[in-house]
Amino acid sequence: MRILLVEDETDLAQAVADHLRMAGHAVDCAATLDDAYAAARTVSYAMIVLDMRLPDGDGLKFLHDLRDRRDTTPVLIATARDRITERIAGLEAGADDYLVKPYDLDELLARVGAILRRTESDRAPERLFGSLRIEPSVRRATVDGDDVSLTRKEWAILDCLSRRPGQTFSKGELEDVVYGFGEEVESNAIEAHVSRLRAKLGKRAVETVHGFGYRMGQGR
Amino acid sequence: MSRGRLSRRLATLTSVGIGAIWLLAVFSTALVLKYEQEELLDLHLQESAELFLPVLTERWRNRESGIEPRSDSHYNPEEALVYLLVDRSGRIVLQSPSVADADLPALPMRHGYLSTATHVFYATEFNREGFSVVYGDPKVERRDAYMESFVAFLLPILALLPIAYFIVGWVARAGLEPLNRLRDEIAERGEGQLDPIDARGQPEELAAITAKINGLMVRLGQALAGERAFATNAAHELRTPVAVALAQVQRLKIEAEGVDPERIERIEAALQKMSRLVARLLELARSDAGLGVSAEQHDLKKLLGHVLEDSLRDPARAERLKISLPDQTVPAPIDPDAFAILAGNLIDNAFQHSPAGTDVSVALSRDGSLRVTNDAPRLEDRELSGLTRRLYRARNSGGGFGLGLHIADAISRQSGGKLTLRSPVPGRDSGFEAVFKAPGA
Repeated sequence: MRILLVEDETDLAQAVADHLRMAGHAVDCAATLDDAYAAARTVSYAMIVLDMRLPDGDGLKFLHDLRDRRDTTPVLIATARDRITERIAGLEAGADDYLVKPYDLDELLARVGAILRRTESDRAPERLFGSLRIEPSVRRATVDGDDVSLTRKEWAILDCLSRRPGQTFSKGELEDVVYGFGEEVESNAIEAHVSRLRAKLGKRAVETVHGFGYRMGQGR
Repeated sequence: MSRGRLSRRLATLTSVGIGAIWLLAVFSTALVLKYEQEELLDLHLQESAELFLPVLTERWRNRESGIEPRSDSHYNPEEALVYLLVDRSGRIVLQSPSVADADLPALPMRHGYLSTATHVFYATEFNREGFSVVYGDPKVERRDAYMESFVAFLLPILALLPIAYFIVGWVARAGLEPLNRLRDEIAERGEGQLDPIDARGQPEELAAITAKINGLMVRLGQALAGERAFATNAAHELRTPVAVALAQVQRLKIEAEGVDPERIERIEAALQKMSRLVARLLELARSDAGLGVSAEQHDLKKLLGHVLEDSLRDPARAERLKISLPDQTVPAPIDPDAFAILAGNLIDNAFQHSPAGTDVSVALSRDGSLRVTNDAPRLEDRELSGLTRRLYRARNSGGGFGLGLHIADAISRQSGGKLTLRSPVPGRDSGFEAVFKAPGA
C-alpha cells in the first residue's frame, strides 16, 4: 500500500517511514504542505499520515481541502496537539483516526493497518463474519447461504457495524446513521432494531458493549 | 469587607460622635444654666431677706410690747426657709422653727452671701433699730431644681440617638452605593472576563482605585494569555523531541545489531515515562493558566466518549472498564478540554491504583455527575485528604507522579464544579470513588 507521510521533523519522519516500509508499505514523505498538496495531486494514496503543525501552514486546512474535493483517501492525524477539542476538530474535519505524539511506532502501524483494512472491506464485494456474509453492493445478507430479509433501518445498522468490525458504536451514533436529520427517534428504537437483527442473524451477530453501545460480532 | 459592615461601622462611629457632641453641649448648657439659676436664686434670696427685715423687726417690736405671743411657731410661711433676726452683737432675737436642721453661719454675719453645708445665707445690712435678717435658702432644693432641668435637657437627646443611628446608617448606605457598584463590577470579573471597569460617574477616590484595578487586570490578562500560549506551544516543543527520540529508539531496537536489547528497552521505558510526565505537566500548566469555565454548554457524554476511546483501545484496560452513559446528551457550562483532562485523570488514577484484573467503573448521570470507582484497598481519612496535594503520592503509588488528582481538583474548582473523593466506596468496605459534579448540575 502506498502511504503519504506528511511530517516536517525529518528524524521522526525517517523512523516512521522505515517502520511502515518494514511492514510492507510504500512511503512518500512530505515535509511541507506544498509538497503534500503536490504529492496528493499526482498520486492516489491508500492513506495519508498527517502532522498538524507544518512550517507553511496547518495540516487541518490540508484535510479540509482534501474533503472539499470529495477525496476520501483515509487520513490518520499524528500530531503533538493533545487537546480533546483539537482531536474532535480533526475527526470532524474527516480524519479517520487521531494519534498524539509521542506514539509507539507499533501503535501507529496497528492504526494504519486498521484503517487500511476498513477501507479495503468498504470496497470489498463482501464482508464475512463466520457464517454471516454481507454483500454491500447489492444490499444482501446471507447466513449459511440463506438470504435474510432486512428492513432499511436494520440494514443501515448492520452496514455501519460491519464496515468497521471491532469498533464500538454508541446508540447515539447508530441513531445518526439510521435516522435522518430532524426525524423523530423513539427511545429504545436502536435496541429494538438490534434485537430483531439478532433474531434474524443469530444471537452473536451484534455484541453489546455494556453501557456504551454495540459492535459487530459473528454470525450463527 | 462587606457592605453591611462598612456602612454599619460608619453609622456607629458617626452616632457616637454626634452623641459625644450633644453630651458636651448639654453639659456646657447645664453649667451656664446652673450659674444663671444660682444668680437668680441669690437675687431672690436677697429680695426676700430685705422684704423680711421690716416685717420681722415689726414682729419683734410687737412681742416686746406684749401684743403678740413670744412663740413664733404658728408663723411659718415656708417650712424649709430659715431666717434669723440678729442684733449688732450677733444675738438671735427671733428665729424660724426649722433652724434646728440647718448648719448656721457664725454670728454676727457680715452683710452679703455665705454658703454653709446645708444652706446659702444672705445677711441684710442693719436697719435703724439695729437689726439684720439672716435669711437661708436650702441647697437641696436648689440641687433638685438644677437636676430636674438637666434631665429635661438630656432625655430627649437620649431618645434621639437611636433615630440618629438609623438615619446615619441610611445616609451611609446611600453614600457608599458607588462602592457597592464597584464591588459588583469586580465580582463579575474572573477567568473569562478581564475587560476594564467603566469608571464614568464614579467618585474621585473610587475612580483612582478603578484605574489601578484596570491596570492590574490588563497585566493579569497578558500574564494569563502568556501562560496559555506557553501551555499551547509547549505541547509541540516538548512532545516533538520525545516523539523523535522514542521513534528512533524503537527503530534502533529493530535495526541495531550487537547492542544489548535490554539497554535499549530501558531507554525506551524511560522515554515512555517521560512522555507521560510531559502530558501531565502540560495539563498542570493548563490548569495553572486557569482552564475551566466556559460560557457555552458542552455535551459531557460526547466528550467522555472521546476520553474513553483511549482506554477502550487498550486491550488491558478495555476488559476491566465498565461504562454507563445516559441516553440523552448531558450539557454543562465547562471548558471541553478542562473536562477531558479531569475525566482522563480520574480514569487513569483509577487504573493506576487498583489491583490487577479488577473492574474500573465510569458512570455519567443525566444531572452531570461523573463517578469513577475502582477496587483499591481502603484509604485512611488522612491519606484521602492529602490526595489532591501537588506531588502527593499514596502508598503503593504504582509509579504515578502525584499530579493527576491535584490537576483534577484544580480544574474542578476553576470550573465551578465539585470533586468529592471517598474511600471506601459507599456501601462497600473497600474501593476508591471520585465524583465530579459539573457546574450547573
